[in-house]
Amino acid sequence: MKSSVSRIVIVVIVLVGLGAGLLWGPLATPANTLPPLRIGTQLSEASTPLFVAEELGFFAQNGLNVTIPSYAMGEQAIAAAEAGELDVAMTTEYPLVVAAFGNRSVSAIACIDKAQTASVIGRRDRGIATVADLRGKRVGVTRRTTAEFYLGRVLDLNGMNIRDVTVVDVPRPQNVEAVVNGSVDAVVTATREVVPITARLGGDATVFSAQSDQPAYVLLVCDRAWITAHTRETDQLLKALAMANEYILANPADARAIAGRRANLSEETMAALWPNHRFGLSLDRSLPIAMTDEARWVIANCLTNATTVPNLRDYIDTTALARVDPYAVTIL
Amino acid sequence: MKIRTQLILGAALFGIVLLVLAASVITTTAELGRLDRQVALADRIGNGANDLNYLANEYLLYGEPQQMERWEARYASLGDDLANLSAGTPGQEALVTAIAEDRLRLKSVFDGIAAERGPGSPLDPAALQVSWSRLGVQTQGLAYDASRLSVLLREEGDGVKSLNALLVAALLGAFAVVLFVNYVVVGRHTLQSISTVLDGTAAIGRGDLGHTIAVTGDDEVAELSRAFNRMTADLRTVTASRAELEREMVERQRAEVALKEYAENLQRSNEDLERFAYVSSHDLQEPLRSIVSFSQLLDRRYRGKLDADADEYLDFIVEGGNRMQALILDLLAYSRVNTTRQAFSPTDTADVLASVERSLDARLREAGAAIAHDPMPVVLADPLQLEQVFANLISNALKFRRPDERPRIHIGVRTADGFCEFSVADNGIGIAPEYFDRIFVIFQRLHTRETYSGTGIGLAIVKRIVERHGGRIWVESTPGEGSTFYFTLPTV
Repeated sequence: MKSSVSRIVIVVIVLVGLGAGLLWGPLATPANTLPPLRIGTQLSEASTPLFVAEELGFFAQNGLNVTIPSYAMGEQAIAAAEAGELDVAMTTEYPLVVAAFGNRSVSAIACIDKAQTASVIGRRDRGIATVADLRGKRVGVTRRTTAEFYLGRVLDLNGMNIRDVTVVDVPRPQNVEAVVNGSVDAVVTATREVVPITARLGGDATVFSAQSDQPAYVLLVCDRAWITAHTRETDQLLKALAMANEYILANPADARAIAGRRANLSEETMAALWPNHRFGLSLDRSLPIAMTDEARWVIANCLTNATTVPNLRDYIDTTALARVDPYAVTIL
Repeated sequence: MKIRTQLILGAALFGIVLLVLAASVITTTAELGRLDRQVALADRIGNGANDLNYLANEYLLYGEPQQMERWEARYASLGDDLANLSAGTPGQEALVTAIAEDRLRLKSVFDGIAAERGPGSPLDPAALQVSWSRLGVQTQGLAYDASRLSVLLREEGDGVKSLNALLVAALLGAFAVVLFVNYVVVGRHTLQSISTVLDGTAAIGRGDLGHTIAVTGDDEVAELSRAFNRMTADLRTVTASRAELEREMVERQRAEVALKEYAENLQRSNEDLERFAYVSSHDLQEPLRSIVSFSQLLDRRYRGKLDADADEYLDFIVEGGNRMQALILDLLAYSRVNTTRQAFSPTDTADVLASVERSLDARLREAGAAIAHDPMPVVLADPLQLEQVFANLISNALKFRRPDERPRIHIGVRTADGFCEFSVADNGIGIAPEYFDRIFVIFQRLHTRETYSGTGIGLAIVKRIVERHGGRIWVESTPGEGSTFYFTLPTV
């Protein structure tokens, strides 16, 4: 009798131990066995999930040893990824559309943010008070960035097109200086530049939204071959970012502080920009619609030699996100 | 811990578990109902986004007012659904906010497109494409956010279910653990204690009263064990007393047997002695009678013919012979109490007393005595011996009367406990208390023969007769005032 009870107790203890192991095993920190992961990003508030994941150790918890070099433009980051200098490039969707026209071998694995980040800042002393006043003016834009499309779309919706203005290719971060020193009459730039530009222009700045209610999709883009060869890295990366997003939702002030410090943005600026962002992993149907729309715009405005829209679905790889968060993928 | 306390605690724990389970089920059901309604709202908003996309495109194509009206109506209903959404987590709150912003942007985009489109002025294909794309971006973004919210709400529902299942499992598990521990720690202890008590009762049942049940704990079984031990101790004491009692009984039986043997020997010896007294007194009568007769004859023939001493010697011989004859007769009479006895029969003591009075009539009259008596009963007795008793006692009353006082004799009767108590009271000289026993001894005299005649056999015979009838006799007396002799006889 006594020995049978002892056996039962031992079996119960063993089962409880196994159950605890099964329960806690997946939550335990995996061994840091993955090779270093390089994520090229921009020093902006849109990079908040990456900064939070790095600073709070979510990457490390998922076995990732991440470095985050910064690039001025998404296009540069995509090029670096193609060249093997980066594993992951953070960019908005328009550079990916441009890349598609170049038939480049890259794909977005996730959208990490939907943002309203672009503004048009015009100089009043150059006669710019409304969008219509842009006609015939010199407008600074960083070519092959979303700003180029936004400018075109704003002009389209106001009865003009991109040929009705003089587009001046001003790479970042010189675009700020260009409008301030008057080499351009207006500039399409990130909203985070509005405050410093208007401050320097005094009362001569006119600001209006550049995005026409269409969000900018902040994407993580990788070389396709790399994606195929690094499923574990992509999965762990997305898991780490999911953890970062949960932290951002639960602790927005702390997340803002982290991102502001990393992007060199003041607390006030971060607080002003914060409502323009929706951090979260997704690949929903609106993305290919927006990209296709932009591709058509590129063709219509003769910014490419192509005459047909490329199959942009090929530039969105949903497999990794579908593994990590199936409900975040609605693209057909 | 008492078994009763354990049972109460077990029942209380079971009740608490049931209450918590019921509360959990109720709250879970309510929360799941709320989440289901929220999921339905989120799904309806997602469907509404697709509806608005379809209606907007329809308007883009045809520009008819009814499409615009339907779009506006659907947009308004989507707003109603949105107003009923409530966020429970930061993620849900962010999505509800996003949906609200999506809805406003969609309205902004649609209003812009509708203004450009206007009724009856179709858009060129390029503008149509742009409008279609812009509407698609907004509606699909809105639909995604709604679906995402729906997923989060479902996940929360799953979480609530899981939490409830976990709670139920934890409670049941805890309850099972408590039961298991209760069985292992308490139940087994109790069963073991009961087993020990059973073993103890079996040992006691076999007669091992020295067995002590080991008492562990403080529960009812321990109390039972202690009670058993107390009972065993009492049994040991009672058994010891019983053994002593049995030993005493054996000794008494032995004593009784010895006493019986002694009594039988004594009886035999007494009978032999009586037989000897009777035979010897009877057989002595004849030679004594010859001695007395010849001494009297010698006295008659030779008195005065011999010298004076011879005459005196003859007087001594005659007187001694007569006294010896009297003694022998008295001794014979004493012996005859048992040897010539008659069977007891109902005897009217009034007749007996009357006969005695008649036989003593001369002495009574001579002494001027007065005899009074209570109503005399019928008793079971030998009438002749009973007459001896009354005659003797009344004779004594006459003999030992006070010289200056007429004798008054009263015979009283009292009945109690199956016996009649007779009392013969006189107003004679009385007897000193120290002689109360001596007067019943044979040939014991309190006075000289010169003072009062007699051999001292009377009261001994009376005592012997009374005792032969199963009664007893005793005296109460005050010297100078009188004596009362009491004796008892069995009633009929």
